[in-house]
Amino acid sequence: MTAADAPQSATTVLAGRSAMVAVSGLDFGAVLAGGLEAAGARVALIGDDDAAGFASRAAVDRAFEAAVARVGIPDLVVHAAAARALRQPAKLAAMDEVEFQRADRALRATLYCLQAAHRQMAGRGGAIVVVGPAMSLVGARDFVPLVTASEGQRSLVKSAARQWGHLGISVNWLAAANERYAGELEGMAPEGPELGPPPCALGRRPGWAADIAPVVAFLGSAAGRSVTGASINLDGGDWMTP
Amino acid sequence: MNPFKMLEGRTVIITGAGTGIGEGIALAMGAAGANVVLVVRRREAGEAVLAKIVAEGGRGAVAMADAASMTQMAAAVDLAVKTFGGLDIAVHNANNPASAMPVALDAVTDADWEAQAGVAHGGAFILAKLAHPHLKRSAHGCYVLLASAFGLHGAAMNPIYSALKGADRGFVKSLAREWGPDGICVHGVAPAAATPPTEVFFNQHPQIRDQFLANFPLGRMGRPREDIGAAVVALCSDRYAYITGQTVRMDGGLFTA
Repeated sequence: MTAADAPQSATTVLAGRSAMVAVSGLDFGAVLAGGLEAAGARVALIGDDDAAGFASRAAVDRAFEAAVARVGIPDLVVHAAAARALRQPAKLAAMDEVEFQRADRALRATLYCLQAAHRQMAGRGGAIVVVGPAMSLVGARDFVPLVTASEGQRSLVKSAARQWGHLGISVNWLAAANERYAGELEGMAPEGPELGPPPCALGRRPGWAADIAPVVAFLGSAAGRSVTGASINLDGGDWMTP
Repeated sequence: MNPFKMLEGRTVIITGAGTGIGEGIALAMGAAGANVVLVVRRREAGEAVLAKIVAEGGRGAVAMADAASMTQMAAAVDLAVKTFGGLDIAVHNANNPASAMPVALDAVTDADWEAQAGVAHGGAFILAKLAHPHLKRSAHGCYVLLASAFGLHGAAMNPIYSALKGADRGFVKSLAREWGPDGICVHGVAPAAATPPTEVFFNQHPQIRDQFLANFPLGRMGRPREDIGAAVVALCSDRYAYITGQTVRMDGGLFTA
């Protein structure tokens, strides 16, 4: 048995590893970073508000390089991007092109972060996890741009997994319950808020520190490296798809 | 009612209608009785397809427009409505030719992205927005977005195309929920069809063709008109009026997950 094969404590699966949490426009970065620290990782939080760095490749690269200076080359990169305006309900027929292009900006933020992660990991491997809202899987009325962006991010993850698997880089997509992803989506149902969310099998929505961070940590650990290209649904059992 | 004229009297607008799958859908729609407005960037390509439709007894018109231009597409939709009195079906098929070229994800530039996203992503929005009031007035409103199996399984070959086609699924799922109360069905279509570019590629690389076709349970790629166009006609007909929000695979069994 090699050291890499040795069983690890669930609470220290990331001991000795470094992680970056690159979250744009969303609020869960800090609590997720804390959960990964609890799993033993050195963690750098790379965040921005809606209009800042993730809007350009150069800014993302600078943020990654600064994070490397703090915690070293990452073994794990967690990413999510969805501007606040993208998370506001709106009818597509009433939108202008600028409003719809927010979906494209979120997709590009993911492209930039995947590329930045690849540059760091290409010589040694690693794990990338992209987080989206569970509504991505079933669609949602009045959120066409958000779901368009999220499903695009999910498909981009699969392509990255296929292209970079031989480099030892795993890439996965993880769905958080809508309200965990963004508070303003609480109670959101595909047909609108008035119907409420579907029954949740667990009776609760998995939380970041206790539930989601350990799954992310597993994906970033040696034990999780055979999982790639997957869509992992952590919504508590709302949709159970596919 | 003539069972072969499932779209008799309806008006359809199709982007990228001058060749390949777009042409196939246009010809099938015309044969099914629809008035077909062909949105093309080269007039001669559109006129050639229109001539085939007319030769079979159909009707149509050619609109010169860039699918990524709101102004030009507004003129195309206006042409359809003024010429035929309304709009019942909108099909966004146009794609940038670069979508067929291999790309390394780590080397994708903003220019690479914009070339494909403007037509595929921006064009889907533009046609939907412009068509919506007319589809809402129609008793048979349908919006069809040409997605791809690449957006389902995330092909390695072209991550930009895969991402945009995956995004199409999100667009379709959500828009179907939004427009259902308006009586509009929203469909995604994921075809695998032999088009002129694929034929050229396979003629140059026959070994790759054989390996590729071995993945198809039906042993062949789809024919743009007979396989893809006919299926899109059926999807937009009253026979499938209770289907919406799905991305329908028309790929000979290539992707079954």
